Amino acid sequence: MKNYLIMPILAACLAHSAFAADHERAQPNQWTAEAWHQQMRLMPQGDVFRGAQLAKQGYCYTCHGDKGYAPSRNAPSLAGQNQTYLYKTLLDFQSGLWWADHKDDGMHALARTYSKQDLADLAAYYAAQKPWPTTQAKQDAHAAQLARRGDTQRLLTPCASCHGANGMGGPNETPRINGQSYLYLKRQLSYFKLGKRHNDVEGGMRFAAEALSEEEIDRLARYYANGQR
Amino acid sequence: MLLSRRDVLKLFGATAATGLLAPARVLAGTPPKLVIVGGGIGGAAMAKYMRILNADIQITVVEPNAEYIFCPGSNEVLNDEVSLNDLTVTYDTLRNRYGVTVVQDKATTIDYTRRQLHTAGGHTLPYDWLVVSTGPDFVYSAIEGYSAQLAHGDFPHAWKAGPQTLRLKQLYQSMKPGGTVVISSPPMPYRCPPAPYERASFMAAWLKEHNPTAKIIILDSKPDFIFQPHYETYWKETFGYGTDNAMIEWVGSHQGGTVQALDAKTRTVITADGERIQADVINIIPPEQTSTFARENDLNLGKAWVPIHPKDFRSRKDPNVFVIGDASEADPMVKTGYMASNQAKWVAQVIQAEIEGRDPGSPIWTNNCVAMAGDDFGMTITDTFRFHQGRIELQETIQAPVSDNPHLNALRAAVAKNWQRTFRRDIFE
Repeated sequence: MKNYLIMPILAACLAHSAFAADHERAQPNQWTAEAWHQQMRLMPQGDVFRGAQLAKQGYCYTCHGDKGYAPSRNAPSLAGQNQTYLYKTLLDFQSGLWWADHKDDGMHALARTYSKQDLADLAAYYAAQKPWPTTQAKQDAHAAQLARRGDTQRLLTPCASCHGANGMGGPNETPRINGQSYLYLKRQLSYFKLGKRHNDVEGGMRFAAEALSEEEIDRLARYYANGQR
Repeated sequence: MLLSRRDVLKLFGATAATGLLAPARVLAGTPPKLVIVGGGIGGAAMAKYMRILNADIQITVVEPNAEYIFCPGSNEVLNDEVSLNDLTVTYDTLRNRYGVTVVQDKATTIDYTRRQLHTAGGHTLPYDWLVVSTGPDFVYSAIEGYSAQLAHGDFPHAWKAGPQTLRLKQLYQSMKPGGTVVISSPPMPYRCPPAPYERASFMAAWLKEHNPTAKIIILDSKPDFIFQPHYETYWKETFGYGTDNAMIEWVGSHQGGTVQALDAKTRTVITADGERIQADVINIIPPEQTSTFARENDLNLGKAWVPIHPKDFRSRKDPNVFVIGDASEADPMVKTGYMASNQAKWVAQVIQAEIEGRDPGSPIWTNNCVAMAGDDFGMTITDTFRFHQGRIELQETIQAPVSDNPHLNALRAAVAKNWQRTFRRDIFE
C-alpha cells in the first residue's frame, strides 16, 4: 500500500526532464475499465503499410529491431504482439502514464510526435509480423503451477487466464509474453510490484505482481521467456 | 556507479604497462596535496576523478558558494520546464563519498614560491599541485553603459544559472503584449556557444502561447553561429522566421548586429552601425575573459585567457599550477562544461603519472554537446581532440545533420535531456 502512495510522487519528481511542467505535476489519470473500453472502441483501423513507413521514420528498429525482433534485452520484441496492447502502450507513452524510468524518455519523446491514427498504424504493422521464435526452456513446476493454476491462498489468478494458455496474448489488451526477453519480463513484473509501472487497467497487473516474491518473479520471467535472454 | 581505478585506466587507454616499469616516486611521510580553485563542473570533476585514481592524495576544493547551480539545462528554467531547484547540486557527494575537503571560501592569491594558496577567509593552503578552474569573467566594459550593477538589476545577462535567470524569466514573462526582447549574443570565445539561440527558442515558445505578438531580436556579434541551419529550420517551421510576422529575428555582425552600447534609461541598445533599438527586455550576454583570480595572480601573462601547455594543461606561468575549463586558452576546444570535465579527467591522469614517475601517455579529449530548439527538437555534436605536434588539434566533428523527420528531431531532444541528467550525475553524484 505504501508503495502506491510514494512511487507516483517520486516519479513526478524524477520526470521533470521528460515533460513540460503542466504535464508532469498533474499525473495522467490511471485507466478505469470504463475509460479503457471506450478508448478501445475508438481505436482507429490500422494500416500495415503506413505503419511500416512510420516505424522506419521513427527509428523504431534501433531498439526494437528489424521487423520487431529486439536485438538487445533493453527493449521488448514487438513482432506479432497483440495489436490492441501495442496501441494502448503507445497511448500510455504519449500521455506519460507509463513512465517507469529514464529508459522511457525516448518513447515519450517519440510517441508525442504521432497522431492516434499513426499509433494504430504502427500497432497494426508490428502485430502483422511473424512472432519471434521461441525455444522450449526447462520446465519449472512452481512457475508452471502459478502460470496455469494460480494460487488460491493468495487470490492469485493464473497468468494464463488473461495471457492465454501459452502466453500468446489475450483477446483484449493483454500482451503476448511467450518468448519475450527474460530480463524485460522480469523488469516489468518488478515495476508492477513496486507500482513504478501503473498503466494497467484497474491495477490488474499490480494486484497480481504485488503478491509475487522476487524469486517467483524471476522464475515466471524465465518460464515465459522460454529461453530468450 | 562508482568507477574503479582499473575502469578509468581502461577508459582513458592510459599507458598502464609503462607505469609498472617506472619507479614510483617515494613520498616521505605525508600524502601529496592537490588544491582546486573553483567547485564548478571542472573543479568537481577534477576532485572526483583524482580520488578515483588515487586513494591517498589530499584533495581540497576552495569554493565560495555552499551549493552549485548546474548551468546546462538552465535555459529550460525560462520556459518553466525545469526549476533552479532541480539544477541545484551540493558538495555532499564529493565530501562524503570521495573524501574531498570542500572549503567554503574565496581563493585570493597564489604564493608560487612557497606553493601556497591564500583565501579571503585567512586560510593558507599548501599544495603540491594547484588546479585552477574558475570559469570566465564578464567584460562589462566592452558594452558602453552596461555594468555588473545593471546585470544584477533590470538587465540580467543570466549567463550563470542563478537569481539572474529568474529575474530574466520574470522580466520577459511580464512584458506588455506585443513587447520586444533583445538578446545580444557575444563574440567568440564564450561559454556554451549554442545557448543564446536555445534561449531565444525557449522564450519564443512561451511567448507564442502567452504573448503571441511579442518579438525577439537576436543581435549577434558574430556573422554565423553553431547549429544555425538547425535553428533556422525550426524557427521557420514554428515562429515564422524570415517572414514579416517572424517572432524571432536574427541580425548577424555582417548586418550590423554587434551591440556596442546600452542606454539603460531609455532601454535602448546601440549597434555598431549606430542604430538605436529600443526594447522592453534587454538581455546582453557580455563578452568574456579569464577570471579575476587568474588575472590578479598573473596566470594569464597579460592575455585575455590563461596560456597553457597544450599537452598537460600546466599554466605557462608555473608548471605546478594547472588551468582547466573556460578560464584557459585551449583553442580549438570550445568553452563548455563537458570540455572542462574532460580536461579535468586528463589532468588527474597527468598528476597521477607524475606521482608514479611515469609518462602520462597521449591524451584524447571529447566534447559531447547537446542543444534544443524546442521540447520536440534537439541537436547533438561530438568533437574529438588530440595533442599533435605541440598543439591541440581538432580530430573529428560529428554533428547531427538537419532533418525534416519530426520523429528523429524529437528523439534528439530526448537524447539532449538525458545528456543533461547523466552529465550532472557524472560530475556531482
